[in-house]
Amino acid sequence: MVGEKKWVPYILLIPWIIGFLLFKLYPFISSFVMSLYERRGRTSTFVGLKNFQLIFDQSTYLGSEFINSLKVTFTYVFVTVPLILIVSLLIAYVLALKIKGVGFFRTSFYMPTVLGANVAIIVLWRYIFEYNGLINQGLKLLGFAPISFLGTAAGAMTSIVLLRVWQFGSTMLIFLNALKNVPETLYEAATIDGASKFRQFFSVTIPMITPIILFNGVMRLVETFQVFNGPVLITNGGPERSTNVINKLIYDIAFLGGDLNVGTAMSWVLFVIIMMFTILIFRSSRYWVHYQD
Amino acid sequence: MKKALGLFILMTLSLIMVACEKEDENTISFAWWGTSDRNIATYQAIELFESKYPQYKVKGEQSSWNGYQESLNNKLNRGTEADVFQVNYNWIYSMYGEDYFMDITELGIDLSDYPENEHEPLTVNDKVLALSVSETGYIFYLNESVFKHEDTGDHLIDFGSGRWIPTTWEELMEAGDAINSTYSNKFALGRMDAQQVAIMMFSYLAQIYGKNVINDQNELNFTKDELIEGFNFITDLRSSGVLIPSNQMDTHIDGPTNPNWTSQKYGGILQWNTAISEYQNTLPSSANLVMAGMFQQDGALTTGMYKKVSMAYAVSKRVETSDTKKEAVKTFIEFMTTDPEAVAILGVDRGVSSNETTQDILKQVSNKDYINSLEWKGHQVVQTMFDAQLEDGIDLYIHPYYEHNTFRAIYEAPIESFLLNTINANEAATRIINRFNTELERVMEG
Amino acid sequence: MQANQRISSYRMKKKTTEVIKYIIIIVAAFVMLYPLLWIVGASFNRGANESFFFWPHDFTLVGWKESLQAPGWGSAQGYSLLRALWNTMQYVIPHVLLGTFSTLITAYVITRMHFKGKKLVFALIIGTLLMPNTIFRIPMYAFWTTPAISSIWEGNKIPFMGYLPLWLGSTFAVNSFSIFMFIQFFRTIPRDLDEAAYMDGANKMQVLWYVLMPVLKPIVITVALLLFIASFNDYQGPLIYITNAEFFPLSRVLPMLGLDSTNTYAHVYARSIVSVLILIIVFFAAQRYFVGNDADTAIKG
Repeated sequence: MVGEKKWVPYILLIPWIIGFLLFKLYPFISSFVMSLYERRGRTSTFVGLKNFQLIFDQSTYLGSEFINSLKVTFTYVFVTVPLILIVSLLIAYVLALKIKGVGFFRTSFYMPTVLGANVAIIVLWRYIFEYNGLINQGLKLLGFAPISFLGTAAGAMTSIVLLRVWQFGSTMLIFLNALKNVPETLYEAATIDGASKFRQFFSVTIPMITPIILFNGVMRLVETFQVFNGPVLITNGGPERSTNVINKLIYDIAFLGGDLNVGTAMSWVLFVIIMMFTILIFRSSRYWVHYQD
Repeated sequence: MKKALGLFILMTLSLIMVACEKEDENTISFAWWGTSDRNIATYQAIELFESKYPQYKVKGEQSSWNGYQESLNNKLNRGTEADVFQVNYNWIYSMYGEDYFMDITELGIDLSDYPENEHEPLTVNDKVLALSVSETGYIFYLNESVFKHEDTGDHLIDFGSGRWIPTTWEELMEAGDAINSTYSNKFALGRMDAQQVAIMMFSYLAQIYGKNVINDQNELNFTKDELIEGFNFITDLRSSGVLIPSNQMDTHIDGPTNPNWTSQKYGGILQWNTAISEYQNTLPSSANLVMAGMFQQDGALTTGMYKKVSMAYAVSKRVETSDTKKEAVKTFIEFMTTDPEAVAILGVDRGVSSNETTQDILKQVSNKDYINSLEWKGHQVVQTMFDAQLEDGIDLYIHPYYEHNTFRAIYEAPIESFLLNTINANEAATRIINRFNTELERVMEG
Repeated sequence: MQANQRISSYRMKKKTTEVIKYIIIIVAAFVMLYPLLWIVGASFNRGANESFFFWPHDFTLVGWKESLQAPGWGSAQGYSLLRALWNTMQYVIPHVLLGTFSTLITAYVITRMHFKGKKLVFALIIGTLLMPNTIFRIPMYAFWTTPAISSIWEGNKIPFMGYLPLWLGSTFAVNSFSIFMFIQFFRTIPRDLDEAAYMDGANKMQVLWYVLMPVLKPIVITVALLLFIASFNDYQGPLIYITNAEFFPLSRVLPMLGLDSTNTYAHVYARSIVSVLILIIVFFAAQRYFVGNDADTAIKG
């Protein structure tokens, strides 16, 4: 440390600085600027907040599509995130108890996360939800009538929610490690006080891992607001636009339709929404997160 | 550290290489979309071109249909489009053809072998913005196997003297009943998506009322009651074994690969005659796909055949600036459309060209029976019916914005909901009427 | 008597909880894995597998035999799954190598060196951690497709160059999550290790390579694996940047694998499995380091 050249850190940071300026700051500002312009052919004109007015105007095609995709995305997020948290916490809890072959189970739960995000599997997921697909075959075996997943709004939403929840593995691993770090002494104390295992889960386990719940919750929230692959490859936004999430609409408008300006306006609304929720959750964390200090 | 340096050098080198590559005016870039057969044939034609005209080189940019439109859109916005590129009829309007596409008459291409009005829909402000590759219309094609009894091989329906192909909607529904009552999972047609049902409905309404769905003032030509009548017609088809009762039962989006089609449960489709080969390719050899034209309505005013230019070759405006390039592009396009060997290779995969010379060549190709192909047969029906309609003063040419990406959702979305049985005919008709005119006006303004 | 009863009822409770535990886990694992198993089984089945049971009733190997060939979307140019795989590697490999390297260096500088503005840099990294990607996508697309820039990479046949937009970012440490993971891990390594090396006269970089690397190996592999998975599975990136069929990577090819005159269901499934095989292999290879590390670093925040 002594006699270390002062400029070394700065030189080594240059890649990051370039990355930040070119790949983060520049697009961030540029996207806002772009949203204030309108384009006809190859010329752009400044139109102020017109694009934002347009996308919130229910009477136009664009507006009604955008409002619809907001509703769809909100539904998706607020169903999927709690489901992921609950399922992964539950499984992690069971795994944290002494289980034979815990390595096998851990891997098998993590596999879908690795594979499930791959385009190949998502495409095949479609076959699973088809009218004659795997799930309906299973229902037939159990004596139930087949459900048209991809033909109904609720069914289609179910299929993309299930696709994401199926990939709960990574969230589960994080919980698993957090559970391992809860001191045994707390459990022992609770047992002495006469609390059942069930009760202990709520009075000891959960409070101790609230920081991780916060972390996972926020990460998943930010991620699910931007869901793309499932709605595009499995349901194509349908049926009847019931799975037309925002990211897909932005893709349709900006890349398919060529209107980058409205696309950036939509991205900014999405960004503000995500930021608002993130801040909200962090603010609220004061009341329910316990830090081990 | 070393890695970063190495990468830096690599990038500089490639930058230098790019800078050194001068714009070669004898190289033509040609972009198209297609599937396996078309791609192979196109590359063969390109090779042939380069051998016949060694001074020219062609850079082929093959793409799938998926993603072609968006990438073309972006390339046009940036000025990086190919020199010659395949376009859909309506893109001339929605992609600012006036600003980006060159007037092909300036290339000196001979348009005299094409019918007089062929290029009118492709002309904006007296500029012909693309060369028509072929025209197309929606035609019904039926799979004979579905119309036969599985065990005996006899036809399940006979309209007299052994004729099993229906000619009217009435007969179609009779056939549907016959098929569906014998095999509950088989249908005379099967599943149709919103796009196909739209054109079928508008064709039916055209037959009854003699009107094009969009009139000269760019407005919807049908009243709410007339639309409801159209929807009721669809309901009739669904209750007589022609169409599946609800699209919830079958959610496969892709027609040719739909297992119900490939396993011969669905007896027919309504499709552009230029796109029929995709459906034929997925059927087993026991199937027999035949052309069935457009079903008629007793006492109708007209035959109800819509048509449009199916695809066209557009030329980038940048070609205008160089005489050498212009000559090269002209030679290439003329080669692809009228050179006997090229035409024999490319066949009718992009449809039957309206160019008389090209048609003569196709007829004379000895080893391929193009005249009896499904595309050609469909093409003949389209042209005959359309010309007869014109003589009656009825013009059913597809409106330039009918297939516009965002506009089509106005009529396709209610139809889709109707097919999924979530709304009834009244609601569907109302929804279409509410937005049709305003949205059309909005997209036409650009 | 009472004591015995209490003990036996306690034992009963223990047994039932054991049983319930295993039931939950096994059922969950079954639900998780069965679709994958079914897909494998279907790849050996000639027709559509219309049953719940995964075992093929019409066994065929044809799907696997022809799994690497041109899946019908190709042309005379002979595209095949291997070609698509190579295309994929052309952006995955630079992304993983450069990404791991640049984020490692950046994290090292932040945790082990002193300089003005360290707090600011750290805050910016955490700030961009939660920033949704969507906001960057469109302007970057506009940037990469301006005529001057697009002539550098679009259609460029030099290996790796044709996919520049998909990996250049990682050269410049844009992956905030990776930086974050490295930082957390560095914090768990005691400085004594560094100090000892300095005593022996080593400089900063030497310390990193020779002293800390062995300890860092697990986290480096973890970060590399995560970058690999993310890049390999990327769909929207290739969708908007790669438009020339010659350059299609797996993500663009796989949705187009449909049935046609030459492809049966067996083909479709077999090709999909082959495509993810790489993922599976890489995952299992790196797995030993991975499981457990991801969580550790994430918590201490």
